[in-house]
Amino acid sequence: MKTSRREVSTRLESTMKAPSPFARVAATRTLLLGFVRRELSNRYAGTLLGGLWAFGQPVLMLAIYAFVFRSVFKVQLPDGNASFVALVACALWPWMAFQEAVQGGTTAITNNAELVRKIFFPYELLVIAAVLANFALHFAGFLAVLLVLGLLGEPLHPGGLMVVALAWSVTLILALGFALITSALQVAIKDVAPALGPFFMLMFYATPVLYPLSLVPEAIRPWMELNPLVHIVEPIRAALLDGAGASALSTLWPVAVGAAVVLVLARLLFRRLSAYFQDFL
Amino acid sequence: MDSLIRLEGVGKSFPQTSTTLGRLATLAALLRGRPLPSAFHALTAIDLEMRRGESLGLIGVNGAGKSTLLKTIAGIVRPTTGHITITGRVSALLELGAGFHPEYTGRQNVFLAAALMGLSDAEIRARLPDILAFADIGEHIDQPLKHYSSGMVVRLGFAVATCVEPDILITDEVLAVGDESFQRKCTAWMENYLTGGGALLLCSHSMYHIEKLCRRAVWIHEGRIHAEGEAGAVSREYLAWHEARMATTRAGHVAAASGMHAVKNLALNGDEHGTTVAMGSTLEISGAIFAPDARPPVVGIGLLKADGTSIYGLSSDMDAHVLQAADDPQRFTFALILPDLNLLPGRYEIRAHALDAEGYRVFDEVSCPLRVTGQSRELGVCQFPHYWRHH
Repeated sequence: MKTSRREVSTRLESTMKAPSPFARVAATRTLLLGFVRRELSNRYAGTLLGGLWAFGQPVLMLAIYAFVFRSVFKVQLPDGNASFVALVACALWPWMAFQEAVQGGTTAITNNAELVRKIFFPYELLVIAAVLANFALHFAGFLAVLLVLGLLGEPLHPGGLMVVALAWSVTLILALGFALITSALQVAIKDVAPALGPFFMLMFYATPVLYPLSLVPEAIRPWMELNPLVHIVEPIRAALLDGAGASALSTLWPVAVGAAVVLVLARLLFRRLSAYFQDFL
Repeated sequence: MDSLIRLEGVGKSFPQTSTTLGRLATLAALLRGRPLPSAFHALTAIDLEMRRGESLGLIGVNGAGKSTLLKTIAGIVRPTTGHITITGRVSALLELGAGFHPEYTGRQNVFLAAALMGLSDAEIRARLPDILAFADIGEHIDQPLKHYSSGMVVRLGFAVATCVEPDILITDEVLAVGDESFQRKCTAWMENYLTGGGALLLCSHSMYHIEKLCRRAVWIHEGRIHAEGEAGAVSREYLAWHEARMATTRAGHVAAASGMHAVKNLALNGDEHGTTVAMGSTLEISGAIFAPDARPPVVGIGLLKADGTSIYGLSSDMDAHVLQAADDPQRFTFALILPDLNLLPGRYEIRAHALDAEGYRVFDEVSCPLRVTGQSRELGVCQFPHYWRHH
């Protein structure tokens, strides 16, 4: 006798059954918020500066890049009136959020193996919480940096904030999708997490973070455009630095659709594998 | 019918995951939706049904598959074959304090642990006074959990579990922890829960708890249901089997070597082969317990008729008596004095059980014959103090 899929899903739902659908959503939200809070306080428990550390690292990176490229290499940006610092800042924070969210999400299940072994709950909440925590930190950092740049007289277009919000949402969906896949695979194969380090280092330079896409030679550009992050970073720049929000939206929506598809598929994969986490942990 | 849990032909085999290649093969099979390569059969063809208000005990030796069965019902483990149908809210307590974080205060931990059991913020807030009252740890609730004693952690864990009001409560060896007053509180809560129509699935090595709380019991052996029926009958059958197994093990002193608690010797008035005493005289039951963890074990002493009917039993922890280590730190001696032994003349048996330091796992049993002599025409097993009065 083989267990049918329908049979099992009935069972899982009944296990989490609460008095009403509303109560169930409320319970899930409570648990998710609890995990996010734990994620944040675990990371900065006992530190003096707390969440400021999440802000400090990209700021330091930005300072180093500014020094190397502006003061040492004396790089001249071709067009526009935006500074190198603003150009990099627009891309660095979404990038950091994406990278750290995926890396944090990847180990979310294995790091909580004790919990997963002992208690039944929607395990994806662990991954979602890790991703959300990283995004919350870096989004706050991003807004702070924009504020500072604005105060320093950088010509930013406030009208672009709509595009910024949308682009960050797409990044979040994409990160959730990736993290759900990598976290489930990490349970089975421990090599996933260490492989992400070199992967992200490569991706950092393959994504126009330190340079605008327009500087990339025409021949290579179509290849680079396969990277979904290109279509997130560039619209943010266009909207904030050039005030070209409307045209930025047109390049953003295909990525949004793609990210949503990735997330749906990732959840299917996660659901399939999570039923067998116990066999691996 | 009011069936809460129904298992039909449930089997679970764990795939090979101890080697990297095995994990890869398992993952590949999972991704392609193929049957998993099986390395170890944990459960085979389990049929089980639990109705509302029913209490079922699971017994069996370590590694028999009890925990896997509980986890399968709790939804943590996906069965390889068979059907599981569950109607109602399940609360699985596989470990008290699972999900607790040492850096958090008791209060913060209550919120996360209760959320893990499916309660929302508002529900937890509403039940917080009850939880705090049950745990009874006072102002410690706002201290980090790492400063708690293990007993306090357990109390808090059980207090959270009681607030969920499940239709089915699944527990694994969590009842018999904490101090005696808290144990009484837990047992009282359980009994109350059962009278209120709750269903209990209890996995325990303590036949005392199985018989006290469960009407039915299932004996799992090597992943299959070996026996099923009235709790007392199944647990007696299990104990008899366990005894026989331990007896063969004891012959080669494997029990001690394998690190199990064991009764090393038992003597009545200093004689290991048993003794004959006169009715009304003093009986000294002495011996030694081997405790692999070098913590003072609990010794249980039973007085039985020669046909096996029990007359009286007690254990050292009931009297808060702590066994002393002899020159060997793993060897603890005991001596129990029964002055004025009021047994009527006849043949009896004294049994000593080795229990772990918590006093909830019985590991070993040794018995010694006792003969009581004397002149009496009274009937029964023991003499009661009595006198007659003219009216």
